[in-house]
Amino acid sequence: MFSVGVFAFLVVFLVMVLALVIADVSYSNVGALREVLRSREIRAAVVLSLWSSALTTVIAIIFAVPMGYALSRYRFPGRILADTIVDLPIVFPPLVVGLSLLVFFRTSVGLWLESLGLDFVYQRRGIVLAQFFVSASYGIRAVKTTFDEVDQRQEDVALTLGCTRGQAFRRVALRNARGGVIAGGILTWARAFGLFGPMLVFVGAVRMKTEVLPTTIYLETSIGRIEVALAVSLVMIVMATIALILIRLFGGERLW
Amino acid sequence: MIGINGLNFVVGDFALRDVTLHVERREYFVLLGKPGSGKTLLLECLAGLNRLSSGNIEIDGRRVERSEPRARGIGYVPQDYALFSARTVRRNIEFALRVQRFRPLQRNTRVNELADMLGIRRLLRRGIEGLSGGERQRVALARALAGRPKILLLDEPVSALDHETSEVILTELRRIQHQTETTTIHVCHDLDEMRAVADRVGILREGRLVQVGTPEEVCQSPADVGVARLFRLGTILTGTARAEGSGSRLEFGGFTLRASQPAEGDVRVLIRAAEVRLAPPSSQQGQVVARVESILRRDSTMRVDLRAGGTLFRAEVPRAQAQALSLKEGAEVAAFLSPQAIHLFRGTNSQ
Repeated sequence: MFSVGVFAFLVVFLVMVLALVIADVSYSNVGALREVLRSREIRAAVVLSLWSSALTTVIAIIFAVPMGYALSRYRFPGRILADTIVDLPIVFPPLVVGLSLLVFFRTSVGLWLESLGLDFVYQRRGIVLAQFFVSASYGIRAVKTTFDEVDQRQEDVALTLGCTRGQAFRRVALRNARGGVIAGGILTWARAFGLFGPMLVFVGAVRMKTEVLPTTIYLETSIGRIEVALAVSLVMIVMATIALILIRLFGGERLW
Repeated sequence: MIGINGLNFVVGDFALRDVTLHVERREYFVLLGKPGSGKTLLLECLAGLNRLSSGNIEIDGRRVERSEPRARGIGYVPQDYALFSARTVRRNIEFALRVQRFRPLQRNTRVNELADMLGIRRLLRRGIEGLSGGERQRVALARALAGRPKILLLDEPVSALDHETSEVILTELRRIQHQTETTTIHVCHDLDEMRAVADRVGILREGRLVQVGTPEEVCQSPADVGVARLFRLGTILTGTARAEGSGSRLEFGGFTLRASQPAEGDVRVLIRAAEVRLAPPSSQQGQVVARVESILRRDSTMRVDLRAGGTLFRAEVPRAQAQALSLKEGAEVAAFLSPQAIHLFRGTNSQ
């Protein structure tokens, strides 16, 4: 009876999500889907969406692992404040992050960075920067929570068994936290892949240059081509489903 | 072998204070104390997991208090074993050998040797989950011994095990220590556990090492009332002493005893339960006539609580003797307390 109750919630949620997908499929049509797959601009947006979100995920995890470990293991003045600041981008409307980035690059520091060649505004690299600021917090939070649950005593034992601190971290803590790192990667990638608000403000919607799939959906909707926008959404859904399954399999989960 | 000199370590509002201890090579040393007395902290200081506030630690004449744990030549088995849950039993045991880049053949030989010694060969391919407490303890021990440490640190190694498994593991610990000649420091709070393995024992209380000696020495001359209580040596009574000849006369609420040690004024006295002899009430041998308050049957003895006047004290008598006396609650009995049965605490030692 308990199992039936638990599965009932799962089924209800899955049905709700699938109902939306089915609605998209029914409104769109094969012609629109064919147009999407043939369009050079949309294919470029697919590629840009994939590599930018993948690169963002890699960078976010590079930050999340040491940051999550530091926040979990060390006690230092301002730790609670640092922990809170990590969560701020989760609370902010993503549009605010785009606006803040735009404003920052008009300050003297931002202009100086631009003079060094580090210009992000209306550039492809700006996509990764915006995605990173909005989505990295999800990864850091997931990794930190996992390190909280990993038994520190195992690292202590590793130190007595000949490990340096770095080796104990790599061989024990990181290995035990692998599931959390993968979960953090999934959350970061998913957030980055679907990000739209800050893109429009910070990098614009220039076709073949800064257009990612969420921007495509916005552009197609704005000119009244709803069925094409929905076809792009379906492409995104398929891509996201494949990517999330692959990440899980890569992390050691089984298909059933 | 191991020298701890004036060790101080502060954590929060608890501190290890001025701990000085020397442990000989190949010795099996037990640190005994109640939970919260600082035993684990001291073990962690030895392992290099805690930085000392002051003092020093020497291993084989070399100062190590600033050395990393890996440079101290120790094997450490924490209370919860802390086995690497993401690895198999074999991978757990060979962890140190992999870190030290031993060749696969050498690793296999050493792992098999340890697995045979501890009787866990059949477990090598298994994961950690599903192992029993005793099996986990053996795996943790094999992992700690793999790198051939000079010193083995064991934190409450049998506290999570049932009585039968504990006895098996304690026997094996002594055998392994003898076989590998590893100097061992074993932390525990259980008196029977200590007695089963210790060459010498150190008693830790509230962060201070209050007495060190063989178990027999500590039983013979407990440093203070706290040690006597921890060792369950008998009853602590408060009385008045008057010098009499070369010894003293002790008065309690209800009876009087003679002690061979001279004393004057208020004293605290240990009545050793194992040294109290009981006889029928009509016996002329008895010094004190007491009433049996309660009887607790144990393996080979009976613990008899007696009341003389307003004073309660305890006797531990062989079962056969208790049966011969037909002891039962409420009955009267004569108690004979030899000078060996009485230990006087004086000055600050009588805390």
